[in-house]
Amino acid sequence: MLFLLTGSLGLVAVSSDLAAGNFLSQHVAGVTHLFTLGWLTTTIYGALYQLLPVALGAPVRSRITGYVSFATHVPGAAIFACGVALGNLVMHHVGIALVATGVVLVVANVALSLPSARERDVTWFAVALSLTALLSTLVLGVVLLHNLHTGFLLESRVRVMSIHLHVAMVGWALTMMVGMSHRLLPMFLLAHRANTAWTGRALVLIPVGLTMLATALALRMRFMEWAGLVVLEAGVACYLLQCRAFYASRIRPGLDAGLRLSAIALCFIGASALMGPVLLVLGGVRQPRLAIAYVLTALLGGVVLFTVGHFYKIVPFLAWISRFRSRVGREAVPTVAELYSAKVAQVQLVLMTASVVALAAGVLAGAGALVRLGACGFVAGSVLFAAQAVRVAGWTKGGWG
Amino acid sequence: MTAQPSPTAPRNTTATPAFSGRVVELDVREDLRNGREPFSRIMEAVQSLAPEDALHLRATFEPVPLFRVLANKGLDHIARQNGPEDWSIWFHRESASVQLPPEPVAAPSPAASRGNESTERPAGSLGSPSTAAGEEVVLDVRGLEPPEPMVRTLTALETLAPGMVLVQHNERVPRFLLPILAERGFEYEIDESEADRVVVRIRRSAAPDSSPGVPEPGHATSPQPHHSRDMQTIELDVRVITPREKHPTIFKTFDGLSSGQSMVIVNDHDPRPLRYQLAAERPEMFEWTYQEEGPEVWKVRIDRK
Repeated sequence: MLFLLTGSLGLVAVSSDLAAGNFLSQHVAGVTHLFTLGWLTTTIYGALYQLLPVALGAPVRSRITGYVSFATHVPGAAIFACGVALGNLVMHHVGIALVATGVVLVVANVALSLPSARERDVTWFAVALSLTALLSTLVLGVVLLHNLHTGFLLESRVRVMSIHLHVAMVGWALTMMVGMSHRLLPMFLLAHRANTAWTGRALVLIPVGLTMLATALALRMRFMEWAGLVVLEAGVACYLLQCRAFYASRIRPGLDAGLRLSAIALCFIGASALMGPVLLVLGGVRQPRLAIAYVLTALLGGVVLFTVGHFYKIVPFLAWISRFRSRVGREAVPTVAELYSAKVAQVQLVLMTASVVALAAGVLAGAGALVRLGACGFVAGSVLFAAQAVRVAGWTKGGWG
Repeated sequence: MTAQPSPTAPRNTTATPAFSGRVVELDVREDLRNGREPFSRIMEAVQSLAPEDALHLRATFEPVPLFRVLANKGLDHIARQNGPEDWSIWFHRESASVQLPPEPVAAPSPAASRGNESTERPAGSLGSPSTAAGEEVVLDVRGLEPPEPMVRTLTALETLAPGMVLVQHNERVPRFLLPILAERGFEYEIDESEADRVVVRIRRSAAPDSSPGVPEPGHATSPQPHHSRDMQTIELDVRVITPREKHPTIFKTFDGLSSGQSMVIVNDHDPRPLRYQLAAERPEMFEWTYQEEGPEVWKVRIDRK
């Protein structure tokens, strides 16, 4: 939560850079890593440790390793992001060492847990693919860090950044989303009759397309860039079609805030997928504001909002289990929905959605004021979200009965 | 402890009861269909009732957990299934004058179409337990959003008599439920052989001869019973059992005891009528010893000779 809040505040601080298309700014890079390394990766780690036993029937190999990985990753992400923003080489090294330790521990812990899974279904493969992408992201990140000190990449630096960004966003985050959606969306939506064939197709096309695209970017093969993009876009389309099937097959017509946020996030992913080919046609990073808008839409609008939406479905339930497990069935207990405010969630949904739109539109238009307004809105949405998290935590500790 | 509702009020009916006071109508079916929790509306309506009034609640299922909650507030109930996903429940104070037309108490009407072919009798409305032939209670929780399947299962298990089996039909293995079952002294067996459901058979970890029909568990655990003092004594807290089911549950438990085995009844009033009934129906078969005599809690040890 702190990463989300500081990252949101960081958006306000770098709004001028964003509006100017200055994606190479160290401050922009620092804020980006607050969201990606800090908020998203930490959240995915936590979700993995929770869902492995439940979704895959694979008990976590080592609980202690899990705790140690958090103990290294969290301060490492904070130090590294600050080091990038401030250009502090010592913080670079300390931060990346801690982050790398955390990544290796998580990958090892989860990889050693996967063989004991009850079955190797699409979720299992998604987790395995995501872990591979996470390691690749780390390697690329170290390469870029080394380049900061030595400059050895020369003009290839931006291409490597692009590869690093896509491997992280698509390979690590989106692939994990695909795998988890396969399990969680039918459960939350009560959509168990939906056809799930699109998930498998997505899980083949996305990594293949990403690999083609990354290779093409590295080797400067224009034709393969397009081929990789087409395959990747097809994979994303399959995932969105799968989610659409889940939403369309649900039993109850109403959607709570969590599922509405997730649906909005999927729309943003679709929007960013449409922007990808446009960006490629127009020369990629030669259109810096379009490139930033593309990343903003995918990262904040897509992945972050999807994670926030699923927070509303998962964390209150876990808090409810923790608090009321001994009383369920024996006396009246609050419902899960009563652990947080639905009205605040709705306000947060509107704020964050509008903020992402304002951010992207402001960047495209080069309008600093609009970007700043969007960033402030995102801060407000994040504050509301943090308040909800505190309220849920209070229920866990028994503070509200 | 509030007074228990009258044990003579019929629980299920096909008739429409008449009350001397006003009848407050509350239809929460749309709330339930749209995923909104109607509990606060129901409690507000209950608080507005005068002693002679009644609350007519329309719901999409039989709200079994609500019966106990309102029983603790001194409200008895009369339930009627009007159709699939349409139940009428009248809540009234014990002192209210109730007139029920002289029709036989009906069994629950045929189930909402869930296609639950595995039971011998229709399953009743979605999510409420129904009693199939034999020792089983069937609870179909498919189509319910978490944690509603867990809530309904644990609520049903609280009133599960020793020797009976709760058969839960679910869409997936209820992984969050399983450790709670173990904590509360239940054994379970999971069957994933059917494509469209997971069947979980749950029973109390009771005396070895109390559940003759249950197959050997595959994934079951056998923790120590949650409420037994030792291997020879079964403790039965009847405060959480609906009045109509108390004596049948006690008798069933007693009949499951071996010679020399004991049970302890925990109640909120002197179970003297039970003693008379046992003496009439099971003469010379038991010893009756008070362990605690109120005013809040009464405990009686019944030793089977």
